[in-house]
Amino acid sequence: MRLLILLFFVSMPSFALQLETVWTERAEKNLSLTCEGEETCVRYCQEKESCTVVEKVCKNCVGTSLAMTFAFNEMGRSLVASEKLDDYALFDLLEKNSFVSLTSRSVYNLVERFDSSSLKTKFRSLCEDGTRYPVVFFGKTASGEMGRVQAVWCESGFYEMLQLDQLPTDGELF
Amino acid sequence: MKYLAPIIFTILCSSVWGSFEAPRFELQKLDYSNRAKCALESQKPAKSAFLMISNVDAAKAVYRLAKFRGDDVEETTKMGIDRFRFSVLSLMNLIHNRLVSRQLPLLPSDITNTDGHIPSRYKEVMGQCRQGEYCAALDEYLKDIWTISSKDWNPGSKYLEFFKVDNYHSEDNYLSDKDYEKEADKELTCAYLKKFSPLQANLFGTKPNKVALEMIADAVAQKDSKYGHCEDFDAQENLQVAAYEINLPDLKEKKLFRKESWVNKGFDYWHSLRLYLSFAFRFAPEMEQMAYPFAPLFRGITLEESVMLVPNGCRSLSPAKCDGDRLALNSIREFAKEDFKKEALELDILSEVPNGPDDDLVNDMIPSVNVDELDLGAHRTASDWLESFSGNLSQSRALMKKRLIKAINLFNFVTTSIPVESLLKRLDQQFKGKLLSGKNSTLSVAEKNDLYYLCSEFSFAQHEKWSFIRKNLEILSKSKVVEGLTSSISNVSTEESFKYFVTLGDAVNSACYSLKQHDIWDEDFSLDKEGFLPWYTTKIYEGKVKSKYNDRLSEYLSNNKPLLAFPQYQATKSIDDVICANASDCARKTIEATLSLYSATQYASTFWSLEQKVKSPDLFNPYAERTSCKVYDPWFKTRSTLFSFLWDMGQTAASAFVPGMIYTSAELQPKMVTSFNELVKDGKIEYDTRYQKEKILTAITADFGPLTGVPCAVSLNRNPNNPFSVMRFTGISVGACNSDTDHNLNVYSASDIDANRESGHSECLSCRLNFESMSGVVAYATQNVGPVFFLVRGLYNLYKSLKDPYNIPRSWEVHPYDAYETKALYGEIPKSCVKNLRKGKSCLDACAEKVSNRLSEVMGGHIEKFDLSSRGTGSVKHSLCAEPIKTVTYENSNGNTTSCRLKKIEVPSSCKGMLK
Repeated sequence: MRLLILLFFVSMPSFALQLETVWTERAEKNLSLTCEGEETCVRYCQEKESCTVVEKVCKNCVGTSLAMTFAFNEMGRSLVASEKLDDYALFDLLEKNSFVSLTSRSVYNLVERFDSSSLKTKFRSLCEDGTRYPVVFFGKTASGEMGRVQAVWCESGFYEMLQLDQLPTDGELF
Repeated sequence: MKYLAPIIFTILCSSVWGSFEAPRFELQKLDYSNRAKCALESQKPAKSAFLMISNVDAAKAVYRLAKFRGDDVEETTKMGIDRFRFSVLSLMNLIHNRLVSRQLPLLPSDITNTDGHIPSRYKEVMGQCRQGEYCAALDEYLKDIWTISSKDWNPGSKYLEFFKVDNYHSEDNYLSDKDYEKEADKELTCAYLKKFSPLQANLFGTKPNKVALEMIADAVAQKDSKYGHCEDFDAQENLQVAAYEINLPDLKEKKLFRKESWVNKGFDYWHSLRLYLSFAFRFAPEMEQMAYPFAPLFRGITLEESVMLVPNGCRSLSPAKCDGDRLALNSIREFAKEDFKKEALELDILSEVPNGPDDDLVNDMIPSVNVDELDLGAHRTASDWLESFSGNLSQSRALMKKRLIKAINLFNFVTTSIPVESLLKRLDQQFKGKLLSGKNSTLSVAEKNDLYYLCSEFSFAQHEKWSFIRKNLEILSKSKVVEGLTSSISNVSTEESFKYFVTLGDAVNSACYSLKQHDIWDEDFSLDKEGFLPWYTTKIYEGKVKSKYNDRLSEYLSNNKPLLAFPQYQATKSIDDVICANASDCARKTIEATLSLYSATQYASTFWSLEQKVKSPDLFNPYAERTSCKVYDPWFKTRSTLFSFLWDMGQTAASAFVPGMIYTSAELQPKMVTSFNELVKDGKIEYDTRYQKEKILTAITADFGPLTGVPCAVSLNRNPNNPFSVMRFTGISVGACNSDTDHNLNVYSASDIDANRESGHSECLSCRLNFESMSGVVAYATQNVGPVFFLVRGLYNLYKSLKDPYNIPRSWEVHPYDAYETKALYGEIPKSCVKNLRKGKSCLDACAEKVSNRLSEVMGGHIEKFDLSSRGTGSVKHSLCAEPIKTVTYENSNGNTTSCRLKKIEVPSSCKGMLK
């Protein structure tokens, strides 16, 4: 019986926690975690149901650098979701605190209209579960600027993200 | 001297907003220079500059923040704009105050300068920094210094502590009291620039005459409509941009018997200000207060794209060096032109096949100075001008980014999805085995056209001898500029991309050489010129043929599946989701993508700050780059240098360690070559040895077609000492390359094209017919210069241009208050006063001068109205006092000389507060 219960938890398809961007009154960017009973999350939040992670200042993210333009233009096209990651991956990433998170409602988006429908479509295409506001994580470069895409949080889990470098040739897709 | 009263600015006294003071403002004398003097002045450090702030990014971000949080969008955005401007101004003021009080050391602007002391750690750090690459060591270094400067210690303690960071023991490394006039204020003064006016007359004209002086005097009377207070953000109506004039008065130009002076320290001052500003805006704890409540957001702004410091006049903010930043100047000036939008597509900077930023230096060697080159007068307000300038700059930057992203995407996918061998096979298949397999198949008209495009475009772009970019690729691939810009989005290095392009191009060219051209493109064949890619029609047909490449591609895709496309294409059917439609499209697009990378490298300094500091282009002095790049020599001393100049893109101010110089000589006689036919008639046709006579003949006589730009060569220079020469003619340019033996060329007439020898004799010179501008960039690298990008030009029309009277350096100076008071006293500027005034002297009578000087000493400001008595009580109306100021003066005439005794000046009690 105990084994059955364990198996049930291990194979549970959904990632119970909620992730949301919050900008404070002092214009600090935070990520708010609501655990909804998810154990790793509760442990991460030091036995609380929710907590916030301060996202460090991202150099040159408030602008239209090539990296920012590329990210918003190519989201869902060159930048795509891939394998589901281990649940711990999200907390590892938060723990290291060397990331930049983007959503379709990103304040860093100076490339397209704020929360435009085309941008929403691009971001939502990353999650098959219909997540309204997927949160895409990028790494940081040595200078503190936005680096390579890493992962996306969807309501159903945390997924690796890739920048495509290969496409099928000869209309193999069609 | 006479100054406006200090406008003390203590902004918003709320404790969280801090109490930093924004810089205050005083009017300065106007320095006029003619061409030669302006060129000379560019080698000296400025004391006055314009701070140009574009807060578009800041405003957009705050707007989004307000939307996100559900705040009042309008109110929050306005507050954000004010805070952004305030934080830039305040931080700059803070840095200045620390620099002049030994609370921050000066950072040497030239680490190769052996005259002054260069702290050893600083030298080591800057030696490691490379243009276009992030320099972590520099941030670390600045952090160490800034931490000390932010301590709540007295300047003496900080001074001692700086020794722990680096050996800052020399007077060279600090600005001190000795660098200032006695008892001078050491503050940075600041004014919001409402309108360009005669108070910036030095930017509009040269030798000031009576009319100009009267206009200056009138402008002083209306100065409130020209200048505003820096801190009065409510009055700064334009929400996108703001221009400020900042001045450093009372610095000693030179000191007798002492090497340290503004001439020596000025560039270090500006260099330090720009470096500290860039650093502190992101990392300084002081920013928390200055930018409250937006500090973390503002720290994320690309400050270098939002803020620019521009010298006010002919002087510079950085030492004379022929680097990418200087060469970028001319293209930056284009953004200020009133007709930029109309002319934009014609400009080299937006061309898909750019000649490079040095092109204008060659084409326009002797421009006028001080003739409102930047169309300041065409705009109602200074903000309108700046808005247009920064709008043009950011839109062009956006276009460049778009092209770069497209290029990166293409190389990312093509290099990994279709290796060169595979693409060649596909090309052969597309052309029914004709290209590589030597099959005797028949091509349709569309296929013939396609093959023609492929061969032409690759011939033009990739020919190993005469390609306009090929010689640069090797050097460019080693340049880290594009790499630095694209590293976070590119899967393939620039070197790999170029390698792919060169390998593919060599194979395509070789296949094209072996084609029996007449068999394919027979007499019935008519070339559809609209099918070339836009870059090609622009260059070859000079825009007379409009490319319909994308239309042709859409037609093709309506019946065919694309070779390489994003999965989204299935749903969207948008051409934007297609990487390439077929093999020839893929191949040809690699040229376009290479050109985008090439163009971005050429103009990187125009669009991006490649070092960790705020940009400071010498916008108002077109001789800054001409002097530093030795295109123009204001003293005529070194005529030999007039024919050469050098661009060393890798040579940065920060790491100015790269030695070497390469230059070309131009001993050719200028000649008008009007047409290709003329060359044919003259019997000056050469062609590539790999083409065989029978294969080339048709192409030359019918249309240049795939051979355009490649095979013809012109024998003009046979000087064995100058195997590398480049010469420009009207309508044609000639590039000479090395011949293998004695530099003699085979010259054939077109009607008698002989079978070429394989010896390579003819591979010496090339002519590029009707696309003269293509030759804009011809770069030769030598083995010993390392990964440095040199561009070399020969110039021939310089002597002619130099025969004018403006080449004897002349300068004039006028103090606006002198002009104003002279007009106030006499009702006009008397002709007899013009000479005195433009020597920077006043032209008042003896008593008026006494009163003026005295009031200037005790109050600043200027006199608006004189009502003096020659003997006894009189009065004056002063700009800083509402009531008349009573005077008692006694004038004495002694023959030709008149003197005056000032017995009393009585400042009304209501104006006592204005006394210094």
